[in-house]
This record gives sequence, C-alpha cells and structure tokens, in this order.
Amino acid sequence: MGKQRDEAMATITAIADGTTAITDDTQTSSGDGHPRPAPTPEEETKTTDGQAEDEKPVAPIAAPTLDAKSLSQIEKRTEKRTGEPLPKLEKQKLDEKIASGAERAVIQTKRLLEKTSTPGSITLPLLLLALLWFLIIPVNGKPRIGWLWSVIVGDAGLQRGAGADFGEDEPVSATDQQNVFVQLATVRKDTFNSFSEGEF
Amino acid sequence: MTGFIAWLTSWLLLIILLMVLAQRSWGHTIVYYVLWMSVLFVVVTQGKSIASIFESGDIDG
Repeated sequence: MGKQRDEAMATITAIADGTTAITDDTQTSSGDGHPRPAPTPEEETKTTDGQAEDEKPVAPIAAPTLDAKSLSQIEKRTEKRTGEPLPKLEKQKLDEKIASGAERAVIQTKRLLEKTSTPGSITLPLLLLALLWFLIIPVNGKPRIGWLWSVIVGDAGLQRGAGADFGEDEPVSATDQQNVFVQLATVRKDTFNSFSEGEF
Repeated sequence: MTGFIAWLTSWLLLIILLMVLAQRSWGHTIVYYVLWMSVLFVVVTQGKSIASIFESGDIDG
C-alpha cells in the first residue's frame, strides 16, 4: 500500500513539475486495453529495425500545467484514495503557490497606490486639521482658542475643587492631567458674578 | 498615571506610523487620503460650530 502510494505520488509530482509527459498507451497496447508483454530479444531487434516502416513514433502529449486549485483537487483525491495525508512536500508546494498569489496581490496594490495621484502635499490637510482642532472644535462650550483667550484675560484658570486636586501632599491623577481643558472650563466665581451683573 | 502614559504612547505610535508610511511611495498616498478624510470627518461632525462662525449676534450677546 505504502509503495503504491509513493509511486502514485512520484507520478503526480513529476506531472506537476512538467518533467514527465503523458503518453497514449493504447497505441502501443495489443488492442484489448492491456499493455503488450515485454518483447523477446528477437522481437526487440525486429521492432527496432522495422520501426521506421511499420510504426511511427508516438508523439508525447504535453503535460498540462497545474494551477493551485487542480493541485489541491489532486491532493484531496489522493488523500481520499490512500486514506493517509500527503507527504509534506506537496503541501509545501501548494502553500508556495498560494503565497505567490498573495504576494502578487500585494505588489499590484502597491503599484495602484503609487499610481494614484496626490495633488498638493500632506501639509495642507495637516494644517487644516490643526486649525480646525484649535479654532473650531469646541471643548466645554468654547474652542481651544476661546479658552486660551479667557485664560489670558483672566476669565478662566486652573482652580482647586473642580475635579482636580493640586495639593502638594496628594499626587495629581492621570485623569486630571488629561482633562486640562476641563479644569480650564472652571470659570472663576467672581467672573461669573460680574458677568451676571452685566459688567460685560 | 497609567492612563496618561497609554494615551500619550498611543498618539506617539500613531504619529510615528504615519511618518514612516509617508516616507514610502505607496504609503504616502495612504497618509494623504487618511488626512483628507480626517478633515472631512471633522468638518461634517463639527458643522454646527463652523456654521456658528458666520452667524451674527454672538459678540454682543
């Protein structure tokens, strides 16, 4: 069983590699579908001598090129017939074929990306993003530039008791450090009072 | 403090990744369009704030 399987595998490998051509055995057989018995030395000499007259040499049929799918089908059929998994060599070959396909897809994608035009430069969208971030996107009701202005004119500032703790004996928590603009959002009480009294 | 470190590291990694990608001929296109898509995203999501710039009456209250 093992020997037969090895032989079958060797044949499949040879066909897949293209090193072996498939020939038509029916033309050399005796007509009943079975191959002829081995010729005797006399017959062999006769055949060799009279080959040019009686029989034309059979042209070998070119071995078909196997793609990954066909190879996979052959592999499955062989595994089913023999009841054993194929040796690693065939699996590796199949994997290589699939890998080369994936590699081709990657290269094609890269080429497509290289061909795609990028008018202008990266600086423009970066600048626009920075401007929008600073001038437009509101944080606690005001954009960052608004809070900056409030801090400059003294309307807002960092203050104790607004979710932040700046005490020397206690470390400042990570959340407080991240939410610096939340702390900035604490409008001073006197500013608020003066605002409500109509000073602005 | 761990949260802050994670936050900072994430941003740094993202910036480094974008910078490395931008150096490649194919990565440049990715970075370029990602940035423009970000601009579009901000404009769409912050449309109200952008529109308020053009509204009158906010200065005098």
